[in-house]
Amino acid sequence: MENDVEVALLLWAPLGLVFLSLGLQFRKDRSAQKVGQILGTIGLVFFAFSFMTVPSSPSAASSALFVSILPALLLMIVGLYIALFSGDIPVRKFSAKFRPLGLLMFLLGFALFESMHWNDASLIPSTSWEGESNRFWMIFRPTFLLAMSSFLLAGGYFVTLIGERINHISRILYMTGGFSLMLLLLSIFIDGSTTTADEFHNSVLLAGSDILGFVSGIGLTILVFGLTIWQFERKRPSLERLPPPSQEQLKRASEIVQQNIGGGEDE
Amino acid sequence: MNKRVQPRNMIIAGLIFLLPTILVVLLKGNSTYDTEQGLTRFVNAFLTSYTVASVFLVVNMFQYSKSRREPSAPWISMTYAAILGVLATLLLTSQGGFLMEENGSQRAQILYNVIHFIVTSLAIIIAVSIMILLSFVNLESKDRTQT
Repeated sequence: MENDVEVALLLWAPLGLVFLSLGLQFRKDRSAQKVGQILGTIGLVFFAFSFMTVPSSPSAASSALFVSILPALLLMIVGLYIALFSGDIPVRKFSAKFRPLGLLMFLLGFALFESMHWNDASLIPSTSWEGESNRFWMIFRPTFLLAMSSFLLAGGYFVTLIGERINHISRILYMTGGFSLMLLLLSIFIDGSTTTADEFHNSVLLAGSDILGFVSGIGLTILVFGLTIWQFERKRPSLERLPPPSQEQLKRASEIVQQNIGGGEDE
Repeated sequence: MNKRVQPRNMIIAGLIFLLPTILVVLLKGNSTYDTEQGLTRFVNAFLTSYTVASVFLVVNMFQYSKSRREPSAPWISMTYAAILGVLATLLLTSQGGFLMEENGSQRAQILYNVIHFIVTSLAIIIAVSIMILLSFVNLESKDRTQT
């Protein structure tokens, strides 16, 4: 009983704070958002340490996983963020010199993430928990690689449909998605440092079940709430019809559009 | 000139999305996949994501009710979500009782489902974030494309 209270206070309450923090970010009130950020940080820190404070809980394995993958994920996301905001865009935040550094950070993060599966060296964050492979790592990696392959390949196809000027993006998405798929396929044929190829193959198929269940659950929720909103919206009186815009208004609108897009005659 | 996205394109995109899973199934013939465990994982993922997403949207419905002056909106949506949730749970669990994986008790299974949901969500969110960030990182300016 005492252990249950400890687990509740040191693992579940911090997780609750993280969710509360996410909820507060949707509020318009700036101070509520700030309080949310502070609570979220406290919650995340306590959750990250819970694999040391309450190691007896089976859920503490998730905290150990979070700490192990954090450096790789931070390198990937921060690297892409730096590469994005040092590019040739109007809202540039970093000097153009940082762009290669950002891309390098992304590659290093991905390499670190993959080396956790293939190599058991002491310098690389461990994926083991209580002497065997962390059960949550066997959920996270297959889901991540499968989702990345699926989303990037499908995204690459969508991008080619949207416009010809962004074919380069499509190539990059296909390449990265293909690379992720290659790693996924390699993992189901070659044993990793702590898992066999057969175990990983089983995990990938279970991850497929997870993704399908996840998408179906969220899809059904959106459908239910969408129908509820539609029910209310259809009862509302329709808006009054406005007169068509005058020539002067159309000219003004085209000026604003031209200022913001700046497209040539071909677009 | 942009092309219009046709239903045929959506089907192709869906097939491309499923391609990695199909390849994983086809390329390794001697599978040790436990279908029953897969179904349990699907149902647990479905029920957990439905519950968590419903709670999130119910909270948002309070905001909607305030802005559209529809005080009954959150309560009606909550009723619909609860009825459908109970029906889905009964339908999915009627075959094999409570959906237990490798956990000792029902409480442990529910808590495990929550952690499982967070881990799966994190993996999917990071994969989608990488896709979005990679797309924007490689967006070339119009001037550079024309040269």
